[in-house]
Amino acid sequence: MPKISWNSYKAVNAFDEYVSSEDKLRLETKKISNFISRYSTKRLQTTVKNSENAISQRGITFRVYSEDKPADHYWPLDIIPRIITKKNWAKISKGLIQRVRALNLFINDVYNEQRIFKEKIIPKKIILESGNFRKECLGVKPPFKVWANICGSDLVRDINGEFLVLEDNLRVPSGVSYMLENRMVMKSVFPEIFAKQKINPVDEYCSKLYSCMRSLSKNKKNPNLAILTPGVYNSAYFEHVYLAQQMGVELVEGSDLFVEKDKVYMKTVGGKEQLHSLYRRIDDLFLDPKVFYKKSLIGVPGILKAWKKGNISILNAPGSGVADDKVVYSYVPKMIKFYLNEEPLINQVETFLCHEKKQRDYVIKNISKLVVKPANESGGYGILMGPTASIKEKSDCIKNIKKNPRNYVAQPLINLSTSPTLINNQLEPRHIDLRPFILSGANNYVTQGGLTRVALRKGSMIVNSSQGGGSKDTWILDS
Amino acid sequence: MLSRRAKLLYWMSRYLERSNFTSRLLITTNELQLDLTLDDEISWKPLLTVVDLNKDYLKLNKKYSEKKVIDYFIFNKNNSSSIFSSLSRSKENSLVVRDILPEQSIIKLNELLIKFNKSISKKNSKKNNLKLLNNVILGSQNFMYSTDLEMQRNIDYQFLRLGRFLERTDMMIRILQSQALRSKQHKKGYEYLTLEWINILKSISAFQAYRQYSQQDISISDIINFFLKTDTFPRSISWNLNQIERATYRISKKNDLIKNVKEIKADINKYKIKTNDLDNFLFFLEKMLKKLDDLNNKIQKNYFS
Repeated sequence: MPKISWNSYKAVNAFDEYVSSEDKLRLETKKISNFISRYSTKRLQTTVKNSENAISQRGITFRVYSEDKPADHYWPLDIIPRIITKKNWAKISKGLIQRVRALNLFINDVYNEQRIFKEKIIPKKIILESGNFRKECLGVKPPFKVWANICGSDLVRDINGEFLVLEDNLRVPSGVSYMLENRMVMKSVFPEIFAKQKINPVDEYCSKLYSCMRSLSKNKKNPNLAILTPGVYNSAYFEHVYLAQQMGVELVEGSDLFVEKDKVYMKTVGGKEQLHSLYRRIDDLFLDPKVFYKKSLIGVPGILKAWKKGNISILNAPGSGVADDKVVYSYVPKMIKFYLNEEPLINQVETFLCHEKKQRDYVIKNISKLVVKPANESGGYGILMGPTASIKEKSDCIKNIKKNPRNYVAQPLINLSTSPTLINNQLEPRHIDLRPFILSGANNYVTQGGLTRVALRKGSMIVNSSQGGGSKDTWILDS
Repeated sequence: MLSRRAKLLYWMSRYLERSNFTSRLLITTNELQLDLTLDDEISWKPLLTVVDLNKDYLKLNKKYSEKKVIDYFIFNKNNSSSIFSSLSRSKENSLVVRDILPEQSIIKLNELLIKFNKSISKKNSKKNNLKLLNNVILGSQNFMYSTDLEMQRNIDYQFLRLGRFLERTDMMIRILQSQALRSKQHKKGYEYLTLEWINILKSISAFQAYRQYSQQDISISDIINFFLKTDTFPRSISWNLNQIERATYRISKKNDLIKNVKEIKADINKYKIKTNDLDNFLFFLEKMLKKLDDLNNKIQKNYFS
């Protein structure tokens, strides 16, 4: 049977993570490529089968709702790893920490002094009009002045291989459990490679998250920590359980908690127990029916007041989402300069703001070349890909922009980098991105690599698992 | 431990234990049939009676046939006692309490479910069914074994045990009921009655232990006493009640459940079996089931609400 051949693998119209523009293997990928090319097709198929079995036995699933009906799918993992050199990653990590520090200072500023408005770096109006601004949070000072304790930033590589930040997810970013599980599966199917290569371990994340949650608790001796989940029907439930399991903390639902004299308690078999630090995996608006959505059944009445009094820490702090907005994103380089007096260590994608007339006119005129995004959506929803959109889609989009310009931004289409991916037993280039996770509490931490997502359809740039995306293990190689 | 999750863990454990014992009951009844070629109604009807599903079964089927009863107990989605229902519920609960359970236990449970679902799609032959039932027994035991090896002896673990032993006691009583009912259907002087009771011992893999325990000629009353009263055999009712008592004590030292358990234990120890009065025995078993149900309700009230 024919083996995998690297000679026939060719990069297409994008920076390829494995081969150069002359289709020669990059230095850091040589060892793994040689290793894989020694596999017969049959052995490769067996390896894929083994990884699928490991995924089903471990019960690694994700949930998609189609026509409102939930369906669990096994997590799609491509066994060809994505490689980043350690040197490269060290630079990116620094850049991410710088970025998240600035974003946290910004959120704290918005809810307190509002220096950035006074100095006219960002127009106040834009922030106060943001769907994620919570006036109820004004004046609150969370521990270490950190609001977004957990951030998942999406990184892409442009045609020159430069890493760019595409967006920062500061509300409830998910995916880290899949990053960790991918590694478990890869270790079980490729033990020989792991034994020989220096691949940076990723396991530390959960212990770092635990330390982060603990560092925020007022009770230093015996804090009770918990993760708040909307419940088993949530699409990220797998992750909620996974994190609770790895950290050994309680996994609670809103109905398990209640507030008494501005303190939050859990209902346990032995009576009530006070809770000190809560990693909530539900949106702000559902958190406290007394303050936000009155009809929320998954929240905890009175929790916001308990938080404001400092009786409980909430990760991420309510209101953090104000920086998770694609309009705010465009100002991050300015924030870094303003708060830290530094130059950004990682660049980001050029962004056109539709609420500014000149830029809006440019977007409307050039819509066929641009990607238009709603400012407050996540999960890849509501995006218009200019180059492939139909005339009707484009004209609808222009109508929406004109109706609500604040809600739209546009970016040039970045040809995401590609990585060889196993498609029908052969390697083909597929577009990928990367979501590292950044923790901020008493200390900062960046994951070793992150979750690499891959668009499995040929030519597609949509990497979301809910829309046909897969994933890869990300190897930070000490070469 | 959160009340809601304690409840899920408790029921998860009960359902899994139920799937184990239902499988055992089906396998032995099948073996009984192979040895004695009994009438289908005599063999299989008692199984339905003891779980109160006679009427429900007859709505779907005209008469008692081995194949139909086995199908009903393995695959029927509406039968809340079917292995399919027990495993599905157990799995559903495990999803919610997954973080409490050891990783290996989850893997074992998933393996069991994957195997079970695969065999559902296979040809529904007698051979395949027996293989499937053995897989359920093995799979649920693998799960328990890994929780025994890998879980901390904390409250979570005690709820898991409480569920397991309460269900086991309940199923043991129903197993006795099924054979008592079957015995009643035979004519006086039926020569294989003792053999049937031995078969019941085998259903819980207890024949060897019984032989070691009772150094006498085999008698039905002796077998029943072994089921009810031995403190040394992990499937006897008395042994299980001891475990229930211990688990409740470890959940909280001051609790009013222990009183209920002690009462059931005393009833069991006092009871004198008369093999010629099976109605009395059946009445006694029914009373025990009722008391177990009361215990279950009290657990619900004390810890889960």
